[in-house]
Amino acid sequence: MSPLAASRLRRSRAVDRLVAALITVGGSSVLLAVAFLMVFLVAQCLPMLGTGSLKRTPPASDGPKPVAALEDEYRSAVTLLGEDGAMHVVPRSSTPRVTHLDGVQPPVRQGRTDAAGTLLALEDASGAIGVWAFAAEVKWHGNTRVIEPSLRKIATKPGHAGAPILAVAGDLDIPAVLVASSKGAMLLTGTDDAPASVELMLPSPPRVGALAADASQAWLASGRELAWYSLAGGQEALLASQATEPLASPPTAAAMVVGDFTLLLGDESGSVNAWQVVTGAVAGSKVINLAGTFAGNGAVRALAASQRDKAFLVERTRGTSIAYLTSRRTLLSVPEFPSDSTVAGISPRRDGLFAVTRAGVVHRWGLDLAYPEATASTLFLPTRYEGFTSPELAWQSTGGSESFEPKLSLIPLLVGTLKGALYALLFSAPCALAAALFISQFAPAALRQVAKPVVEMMAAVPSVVVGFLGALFLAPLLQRHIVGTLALLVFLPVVVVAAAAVWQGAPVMWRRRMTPTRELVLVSALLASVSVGVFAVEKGIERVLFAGDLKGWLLSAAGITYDQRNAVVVGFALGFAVIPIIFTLAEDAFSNVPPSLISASLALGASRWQAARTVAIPAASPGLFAAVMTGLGRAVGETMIVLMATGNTPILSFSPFNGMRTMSACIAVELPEAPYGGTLYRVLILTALLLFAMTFVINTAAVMISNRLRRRFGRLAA
Amino acid sequence: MSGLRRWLAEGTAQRWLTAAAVLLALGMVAGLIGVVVEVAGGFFWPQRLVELQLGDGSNVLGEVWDRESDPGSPGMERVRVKVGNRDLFGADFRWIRESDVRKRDFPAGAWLIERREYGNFYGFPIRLELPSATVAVADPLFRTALAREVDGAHDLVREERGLLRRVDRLHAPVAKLMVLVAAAQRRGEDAHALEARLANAQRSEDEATRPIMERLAAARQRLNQARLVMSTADGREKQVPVSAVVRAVPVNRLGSAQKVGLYVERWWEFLADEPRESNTEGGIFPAIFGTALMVVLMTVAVVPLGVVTAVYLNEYAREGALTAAVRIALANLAGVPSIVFGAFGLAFFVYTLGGGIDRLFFSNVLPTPTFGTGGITWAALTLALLTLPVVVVATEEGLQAVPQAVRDGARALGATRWQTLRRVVLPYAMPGILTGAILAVARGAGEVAPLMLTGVVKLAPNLPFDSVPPFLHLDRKFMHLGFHIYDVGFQSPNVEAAKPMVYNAVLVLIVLVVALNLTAIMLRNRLRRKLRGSAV
Repeated sequence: MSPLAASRLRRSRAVDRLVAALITVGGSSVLLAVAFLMVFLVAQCLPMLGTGSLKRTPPASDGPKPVAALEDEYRSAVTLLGEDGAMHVVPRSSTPRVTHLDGVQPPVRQGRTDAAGTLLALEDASGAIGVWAFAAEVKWHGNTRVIEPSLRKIATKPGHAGAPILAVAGDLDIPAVLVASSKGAMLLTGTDDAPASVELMLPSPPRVGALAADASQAWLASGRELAWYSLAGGQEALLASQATEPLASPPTAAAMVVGDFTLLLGDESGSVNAWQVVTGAVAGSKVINLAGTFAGNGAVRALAASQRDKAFLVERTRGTSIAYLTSRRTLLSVPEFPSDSTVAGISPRRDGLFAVTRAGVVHRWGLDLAYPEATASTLFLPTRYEGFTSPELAWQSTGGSESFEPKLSLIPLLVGTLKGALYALLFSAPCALAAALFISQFAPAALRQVAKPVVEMMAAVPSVVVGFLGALFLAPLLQRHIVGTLALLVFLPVVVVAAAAVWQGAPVMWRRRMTPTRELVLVSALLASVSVGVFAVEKGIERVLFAGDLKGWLLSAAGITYDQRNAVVVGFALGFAVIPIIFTLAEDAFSNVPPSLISASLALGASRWQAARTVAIPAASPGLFAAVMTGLGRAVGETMIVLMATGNTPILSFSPFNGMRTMSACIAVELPEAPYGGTLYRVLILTALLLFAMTFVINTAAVMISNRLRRRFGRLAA
Repeated sequence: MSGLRRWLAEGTAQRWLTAAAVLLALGMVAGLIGVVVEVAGGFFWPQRLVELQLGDGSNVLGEVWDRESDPGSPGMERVRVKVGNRDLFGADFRWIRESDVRKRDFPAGAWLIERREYGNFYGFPIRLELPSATVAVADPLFRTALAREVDGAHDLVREERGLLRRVDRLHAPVAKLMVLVAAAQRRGEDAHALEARLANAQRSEDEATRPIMERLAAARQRLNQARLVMSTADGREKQVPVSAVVRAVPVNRLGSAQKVGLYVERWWEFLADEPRESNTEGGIFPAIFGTALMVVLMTVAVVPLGVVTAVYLNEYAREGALTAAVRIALANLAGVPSIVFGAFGLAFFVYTLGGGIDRLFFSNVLPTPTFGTGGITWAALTLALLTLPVVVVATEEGLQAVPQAVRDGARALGATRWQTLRRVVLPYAMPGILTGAILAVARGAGEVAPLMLTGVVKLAPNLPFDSVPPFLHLDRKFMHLGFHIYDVGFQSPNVEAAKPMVYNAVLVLIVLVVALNLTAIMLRNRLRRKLRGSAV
C-alpha cells in the first residue's frame, strides 16, 4: 500500500470514530434533554417547599427608654421615640441621630403606632395626646441615596389622665385614637378645630383594642370578653357592641391583619386566636367567629402584623415566632430574640424584623419567608382565606387592591381539566372507535382510500383553528339549537337501529341487491333526513319538554345557568381534535389483527359483524384501550381549544352548560404575566409539572395495560 | 325471539351505526372546511350596495351581511347591514327590520371607499377638490382624476413610510444611549459621559432628520390637499382626504371581470400588506413572515438533532437499555402537552438562558432585557423540542427503507461506517428526512400555546429580519399567524367587524398546513412503496 493511501485510510478511520462518537452523544442527548426538562421544572418548584430564613444583623444601641418604634420601607433606619421626647434615628450602618420633637414635654408616658406604620400617637407630660405622621423622604446626594425619616405633628387630642392608648388609625387629615376609659373606650376623632368622640361601651375595663385601618371598625377585649363595634356612620356619643364573644383566657395583645377582616388576639395561655365578624343566623345580626388558632408556649407578649400579607410576629415569654394566617402555620421561630424587648415589628415590605429592648438596643433581622401563601394545604385543600366565612377551593391569582390576597387552589383547574377531557371523550371515543371498526372491517375499499387521509388532515388542523370555530361559530349555533343537538344525539342511534330493524323485514330480493356502497348511501341519506327532521321539530320538543325555553327551565328546575361557551361546546371542539388520534391508533390495532383469523371465522359461517365482535374486537382490544388513553392524554393537555371555547372561568361545576378553566389554559394566560420567581410563577410551573405528570401517567398506563391485555389476547392473534 | 337473535347476529344495525360514526367524522371535517371556505372565500368578493328607504323616511346604504328571524316580532325577519362610516354613525353595523323597509334599490352611483382609518365609507361622490381645480362627479374626467389622485396618494404614503423608517433608523443609536443612561442611573453609577454622548447623538439626529422631516411635512401637505367630497345616504356631506383612501370603487357598476380583478387585488393586499386598525383591517404579511422565519429557525435546530438521533437509534446503537431509554424519552416528548414545553421554554430558555446571556453580554442595559425576554430564537428552540419526535420517527422510517444489502455492499467495498452513511444511506433515506422536516414545519406552523409564553406578540413594530445590521434580529419578538387568529378573534375591541378577516387568516393557515401535510403524505407513500419494493 502506498504511503498516501495509508494516511488517507488512517484519516477516514479517525473521522469515522469521531463521527460515531458525535452521533452517540447526539442520540443520547435526547434522553438528557427530557431528563433535564423534568429536573428543571422540579427545580423551579422546589423553592416553594422552603419555610424561609432569617439573617441577623449586628444590634445597634442608642440609649433612650423607647416608647415606640417605626421603620422606613427601605429598612435604612429604625426610628425610635424615646421617653425623652426626642426622635432617635438608628441607621443600619452609621451612627444614630437625635432630633428633639417640637412641643413634646418629656417624659413621654406612652406611645402607640398604627398598623400601616405611618401614625404615632403619644401622651407626654402635659397629658395631651399628640398624633404624629411618620414619613421617610428619599433624597439623592449625587448618586447615593439617603433616606431621611421625619415626624410631623398633625393633631392634638385631649388627654385622659394616663388612660392607656389602645390603638391609632385613620388617615392623615382625621386620625382616630382609641383610649381606654372607665366605661369601655373613647374613640377620639374629628379635627383639632372640631373634635368628636364616640364612647364604646364594654361591661368590664378593656385590656387591649384594635382599629381597622380606616377606623370603620373597632375591637375591644377585656379579661372576660371580646367585643366588636361598627363605627361607620356611628356618630352617637354612646355605642354598644354589635357582637361579643366570651374569652377563655385573658388577652394580652391584639393586632389587625391587613385586609381589615381579622383580629389577632394573643392571650396569657399562649395561644393566638384569629377572630372574624360574620353575618349571623338572624338577618343583619353579626357574630364573632373563630377563624384560626395558633397555640404556643408561654403567654403572648406582643403581636405585629405584616403590611403586605398575612404573616405576623408572635412574641411569647418563651420564644418568638412568625406565623401565617392563611395556611394556619407557624413558619419559623426567631432565635436570640431579646426577652426584654418593648417594641417589635415587621418591616413595611415584609423583608425584615426589628425589636428594641428597654435599654434602647435595636436588634434587626433580614427576613425571607419564601412562599408562605403556597403550601400543600392551600394548593389542594379548601382554605379559609381572609374575609371568607368558610374554607373554599378558589383560584383567583390577581386582584385590584393592594391588600388583595391571591387564592391559589389548583383543584378548580384540575376539575376543569378533567371535565373538559371527559366531555371530549364522551363524544369522541365512541365515534372514533366505531369509525375505526367500520373502516377496517366493513367499509368498501374506495371509502377506506378516502377516509384515512381525510382523518389525517383532521389531525393536522391546527388547534387554534378548531378553538376559533368552536367559540365563534359552534358556540352561538349551539346556543340557538341546543335542544335539537341533544335530541339528535339521542335520536340518531335510535333511528338508525329502527331503520335496520325495518330493513330486516324488507323483501329478500331487495336485501340481496344491497352492496356495501349502497348501504353507505342509505345510511348517509338516513343521517341527513334525521338531522333535518330533528331540527325541524326542535321547537316542538322544547315546548313539550321544557316549557318552550330550555335555559329558563334549567334555571328554574335545577338552578343551572347556561353559558354560551360551555362543556358541550368543548366536548365537540376538543372531540374534533381527539377523534383522529383515537381513530388512527384504533384503526392500526384493527389492521394488525391477522386477516386469517377473520377469514377463518367467516368461513365457519359467521356474519361480518360476528367476525368483528368475536374475533377482531377482542384481538384489537389492547390497541383500542391504548388509543382511548392516548386520546385522553391529548385532551388533558390541549390548550388553545379550551382557552378559546370555555369562557375561562375557574369555577367548580360539573354542569355541561357551564364553562371552566383548565390547567393548560391557565398557564397560557397567566404565566406570561407572572413575575419571574414570584409565588404565582412557581405555582404555575408546578401546574405545568402536574400536567406533565398526568399525561406521563396516562401514556404509561396506556402502554402498560395494553401490553398486559396483549399478553392475554396474544394467543388469539398468534 | 329467534328473529331478534338472527338480526343481532347479522348485525345490520351495528354496521349501520359504525357507518354513521364514519360519516359523522367526515361530515365534521367537511363542515369545518366548508364554513371557513364559505365565510373567507366570500368576504373579499365585491358586494352590491343596497339602499333601503325606511319607514321613518331615512335612507340606509350598505352591504347586507346577515339575515335572521326577528327576536322582537315573531314571524318577521331582520337584516344586518354593514353601513360603514364609523366616524359618522359610531358603529359599523345596523339591524334593520324587514317590515321597516319601504323601498330597496341598488343605486348605480353608490361608491365604496376603503379607508386607512375608520373602516369603509359608503356613499355618493359629489366632487373631487384638488388644489388646482374641482372636478364634479358628472364630469367625464372624474373617474380618471380620482384614480390618478388615489394612485398619487399611494405613492406619497409609501414615500412617507420610507421616510419614517429612515427617521426610525436614525433614532436607533439615540434610543440605545437612552437605555444605557437610564440603566446607569438606576445602578447609581456616574452617567455624565453617557449623557454627553446622548446629547451629541441627539444633536446629530436632529440635524440628520431635519431635511427628512421637512420632506415629510411637504409630502403630508400634498397628501392633505386633495379631498373627495361625498354624501351619505341620508344626505350628510363628508370630506374624505384622498390620502386616507385605499381604494374607491363604484361597486354597483362593476362588471364580472372587474369584480374578479378587485377580488384578486384584495386577496393580494391581505397577503402582502401590513395590518391596520389594530389588526382588524389591512393584511397579515408580518404574521406570515414571522411564522415562516420562526419555522425556518426551528427546522435548522430540529432537523440535524432529529436525524442524528434517528441515525444513532437505527445505525449505530446496539439495541439495549440505552436505546430503550431514548425511545421512552421520545415517546414522552411526543405525549407531553405543548403548553408544558411553553412553560419550560419560558423558565429555561427565556429566564435562565436568556437572563444569563443578558448578564454576561448585555449587562450595560439591564434591567431592560435583551435576550431575557420572549423572542423568536426561544420560540423556535421550544418548538424544536416539541417537534423532535416527529422528525425522528419519520427519519427512522426512511432509514428502515434502506435495504441492508446496500449498506453491506458499501462496507464490502471498504467504506467506513461514516462514508456508508453519508454517501449511501442518507441519500437513500432523504425522502424520510424530508417528510419529517415537512411534518415538523406543519406542526410548528399551527402550534400557538407555547409561543404565547416564549415571544409572540399581537403587533410587532419591526420584522425580525430587515435591512438594519445584523439583518437577522434573533432577540426580537414576532407575529404569528395562529396567534393572530387567537388575538384578533378574542382580544380585539371590534370582534364582529374583524371576524371575516380572522376567517381569512384561518383559511390561509389551513391551506398552508394541509398543503404541507399532503406533501408529506405523498412523500411518505412513495417511501413506503420503495420500502415494500426493497423488502422483496
